[in-house]
Amino acid sequence: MGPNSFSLAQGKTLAIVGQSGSGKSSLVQMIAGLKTPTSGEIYIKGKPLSSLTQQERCRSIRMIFQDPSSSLNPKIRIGRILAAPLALNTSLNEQEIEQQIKETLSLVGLLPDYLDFYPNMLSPLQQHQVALARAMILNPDIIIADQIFAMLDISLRFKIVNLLLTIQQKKNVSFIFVAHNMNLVRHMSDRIIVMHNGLIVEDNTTEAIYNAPQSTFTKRLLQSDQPDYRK
Amino acid sequence: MALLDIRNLSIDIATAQGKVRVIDKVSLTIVEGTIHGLVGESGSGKSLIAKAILGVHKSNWTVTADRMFLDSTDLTKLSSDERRKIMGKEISMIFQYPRSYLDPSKKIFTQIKEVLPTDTLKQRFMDKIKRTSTYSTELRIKELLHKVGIQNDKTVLASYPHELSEGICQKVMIAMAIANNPRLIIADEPTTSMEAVTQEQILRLLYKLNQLHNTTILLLSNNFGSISNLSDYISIIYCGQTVESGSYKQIMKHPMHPYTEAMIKTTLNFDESHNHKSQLYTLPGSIPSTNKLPIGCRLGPRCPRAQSTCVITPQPVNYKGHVIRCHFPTLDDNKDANTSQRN
Repeated sequence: MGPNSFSLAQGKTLAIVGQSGSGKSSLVQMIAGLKTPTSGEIYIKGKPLSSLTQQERCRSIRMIFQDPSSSLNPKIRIGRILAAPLALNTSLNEQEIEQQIKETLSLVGLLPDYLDFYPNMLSPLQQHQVALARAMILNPDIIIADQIFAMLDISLRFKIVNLLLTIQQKKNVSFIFVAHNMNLVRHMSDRIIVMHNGLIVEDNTTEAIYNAPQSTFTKRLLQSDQPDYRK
Repeated sequence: MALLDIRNLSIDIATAQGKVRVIDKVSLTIVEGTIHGLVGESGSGKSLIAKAILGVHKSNWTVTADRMFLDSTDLTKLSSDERRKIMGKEISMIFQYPRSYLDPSKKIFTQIKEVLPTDTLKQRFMDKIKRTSTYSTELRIKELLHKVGIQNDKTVLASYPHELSEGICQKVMIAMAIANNPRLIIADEPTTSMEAVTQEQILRLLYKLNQLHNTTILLLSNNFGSISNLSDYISIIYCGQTVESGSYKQIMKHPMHPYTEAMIKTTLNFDESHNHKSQLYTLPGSIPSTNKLPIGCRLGPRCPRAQSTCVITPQPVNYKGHVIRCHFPTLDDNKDANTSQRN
């Protein structure tokens, strides 16, 4: 894979699209720190990622995983799930932690009553809200979402899209997300990266990609989206 | 002509909390040679209906239907042995996650061979005498694979399911489903968990099967956008109740149920004025779990048009083949409810 270069401004959304095996997931995992690049450097706010401590990195970049029912620990309550990142990465005292948890919960649209619940007591949408709250609790600069929409029902998908858009407006956070549904990508993103075989074949603003796709891979992706059988 | 005619199919499942009516009086008429889309979100009971049609339900289910005819055979009157014979020959099914439905310990060749129609003893005897197996198994399998668009049949046949991609596995599943030339194929979310390009290939293949071989397909999906322009008829189901069914044109041009209207908005067409990053339209609330189903119209608590009468289950009303179950549908001026056709 690579060499690849791209940039993302604050408060903007970057979508990474491409066929499976094109290296989308590896790319976001490298940004999140789950994989280490063999060469090259990722800069965040002008600082190289490798110079940051683990804690600074956690505070800056957060990741949401595909299935919240498996990414949330079923044995601990929501309150502890949300307190853990604060206790590990900040020096807040107990009251401040509680305050931060309550603020984040209201940001994602959950009531504080849910703090005593276990994840499996919540509906799928609420589980997603908790996963999002866990990502937002450290007020990160970037949130990475790896194919969180793929498994969702259409109405649930829209609810989460709405929630992400509201949060972005309120907190001016940047999103990086990997997705298949090109219509959704068009709606949510400001910038799109098209990948093929580990390389970025196209990197442009959403409007430019949709109005004048340059590479054949991009064209194919756009065509496959809503094929018309009735011709 | 109706190939499959189901009237008032209900499924009750015995649970620890008592009997739950998961499917509530669903009627489905599938016309021969068409693609019928059955759209509903997960948990709405699409797969349960498919299983009830095949007769592969578990012992704690009670399936009742006023009428369940496959052409002229009454499925409700058949014994499970007779149902088993229909399965695979008259009706065959394609599942989601094909890799999990193929046997991981057997090569594709063996698996396809198993589903091929067995020759009669007489035929086998004649073949031996003539010493010419004119229409050998290999040839038939090869032909099947070519039908579903697998070109490198030799490598695919010699592989195990885990060595193949999800898309190829689904094609193999489709090949196995059409091996006996069934009259009806039930495709249960055949494209979930596939990427866009493969999804399109599989749907196009199903469409071609329908066009070239006149196979009737019941296509189950949770994504209205991906199958709507493929289907000739569409039924929409919410929490085990059919809310609306009709031809493609009727549903797309004149949706009458608030749930259908919401579903059509989810297709996200960018021809209309859609503001970038604006909030998308969704119904309030979320799908109730099966043990907390509301009485009456199950959309009631989420419906923008709900009134007090909605606690009574609405009866299906037929507007020239466009059947709808709602107390307050969107009506056109030129549409009169043909109330005599209530069923």
